[in-house]
Amino acid sequence: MNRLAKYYWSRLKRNRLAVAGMIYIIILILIAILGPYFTPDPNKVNFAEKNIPPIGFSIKQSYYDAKKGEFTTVVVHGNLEHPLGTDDKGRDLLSMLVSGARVSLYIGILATGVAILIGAVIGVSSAYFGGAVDNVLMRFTDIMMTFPFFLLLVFVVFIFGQSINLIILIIGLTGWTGTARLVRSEALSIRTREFIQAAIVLGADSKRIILRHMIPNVISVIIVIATLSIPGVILAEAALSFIGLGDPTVASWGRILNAGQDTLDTTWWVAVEPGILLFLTVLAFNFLGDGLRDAFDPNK
Amino acid sequence: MNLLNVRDLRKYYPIKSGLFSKPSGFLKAVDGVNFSIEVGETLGLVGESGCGKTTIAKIIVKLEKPTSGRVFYRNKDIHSFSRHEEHNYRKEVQMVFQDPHSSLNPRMTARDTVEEALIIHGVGKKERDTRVKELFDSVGLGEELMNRYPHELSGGQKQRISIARALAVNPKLIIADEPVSALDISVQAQILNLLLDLKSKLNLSYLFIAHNLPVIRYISDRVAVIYRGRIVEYATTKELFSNALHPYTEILLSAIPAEGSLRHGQIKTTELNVESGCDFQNICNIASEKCRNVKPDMVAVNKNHFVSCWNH
Repeated sequence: MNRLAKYYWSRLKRNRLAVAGMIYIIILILIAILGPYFTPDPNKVNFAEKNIPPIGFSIKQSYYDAKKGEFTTVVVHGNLEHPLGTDDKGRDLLSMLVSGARVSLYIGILATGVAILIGAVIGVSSAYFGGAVDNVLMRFTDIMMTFPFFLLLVFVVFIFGQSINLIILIIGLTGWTGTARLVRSEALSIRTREFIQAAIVLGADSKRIILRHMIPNVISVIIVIATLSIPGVILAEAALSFIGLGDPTVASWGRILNAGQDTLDTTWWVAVEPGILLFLTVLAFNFLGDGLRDAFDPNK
Repeated sequence: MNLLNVRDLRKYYPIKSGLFSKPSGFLKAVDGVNFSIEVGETLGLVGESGCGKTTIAKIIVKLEKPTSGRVFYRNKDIHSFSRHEEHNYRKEVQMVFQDPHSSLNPRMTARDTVEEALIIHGVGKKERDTRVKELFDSVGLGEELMNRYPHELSGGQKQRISIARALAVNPKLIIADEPVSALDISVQAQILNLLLDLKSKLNLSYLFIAHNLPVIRYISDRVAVIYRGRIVEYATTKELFSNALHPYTEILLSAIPAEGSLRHGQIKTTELNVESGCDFQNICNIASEKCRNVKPDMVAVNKNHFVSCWNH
């Protein structure tokens, strides 16, 4: 490990919540990558095992017994085969949540990546070149900020259908404005530092100054913004899925949550489990983001 | 031989109250400055903060454009350089900054900072390695500091690295903008001695900017005293310190600042602004009617001493 990275790690380590958040995120990423190879098929429908509660819980279920010709009530207990229970089609919730983690993280990281890339390029160029370039780029950012992103999404989904990559692209293409502003303000303060002037006096060209001096010094801000905006994107996708605008072919946490909301009074776990996961994940990313911000802040 | 020649340099900043309003006036940061630096000479620029010292330095290294006036390097105007001449100028004229902390990239090791100067000027890898070692040696830094980041170095060490970076490209002229004012007194002396050593070893010339007179006296061959963007007195160091003529220089030289003159917190800018005549009239205690009406020209007292004051 690079010594500079070591130094920041030693500062991050002091914040226990941030470390806990980081461990949670690492485990979650591992589960998202490897989990689907170990859990049963999340799409396997089995009506014989529908509505099984998680381990430790039991509910009364009534069903129509065709032989007797009447309704009977049985008590269904949670079992080890489906530790987190099953939904109304008998699909294993653990498998669904594991593959849902993959989908939600995929959306969160990719859409954030697109947004951060655009925002960083616009922010750094705006600060470095200044003047007319800065004015044009920042007014464009202002326009994008007021753009009704949700309306665009509804339109695009209506025209092109509900595809997960399309949703990622739209969240990415509209979500960079805040990043651009934050990166710009940070880059502006870097721009006035004397080492930039020293590089100019040495005859360094714009490319070298941006790549070697500006970007490495705003990268910490970018990392913090990225960490803090991943949960926002995950939640945005969950919200879209919740109102039925998500991709129906992939089961993100938001879509599982949406499916479970109708039966919240009986099979509550279908909605509660992805809800808890969303909550913990958002919290973990926020703790880590806060910790990173403090670790990178030279005044702390 | 004449290395740098500054002729009637002016830099006015427009004062605007709003985005679309016309400038209500101009802040004259540099207002008609003339001086020259000979090969192997150190010229000291001294004056209080805000008098335009740093602006002059930035115009010379082309970080700022002058409003008018010209700067000649080896008798060529630095604003009409060809590409090749520009590249060469970036090699021969270097700057050392005031704040050792801000003048180093926090994400680069000491070695990377010094080496970058060589990379920019196309020095090969093998040669760079030996050159970086030489440079560390010549500024008195051990090789064990090469892989340190700025936050792992002291102020004096950081300033030595800044100097090594400036020396990397074999400059002829170094613009030193208050290079020691951010350092401890004991470290100040070390850095000043280092600069003097390097000067005689490498036949450098310096434009040395400071607000501290003992520092200026120690390092300079000639001194220009600046007040509000203009040179008020210009003489050899010996001459200036033994026979100061301008009342402002006298104030600077006397250990105790004159009543109400240098205590910035207590004077309003409006009191200092003059409608006509000498800029210094409101502070000067020998100002006459002529001082209030006509701006004094620079006059030669002898061949080593120039002053801009009606009373001499």
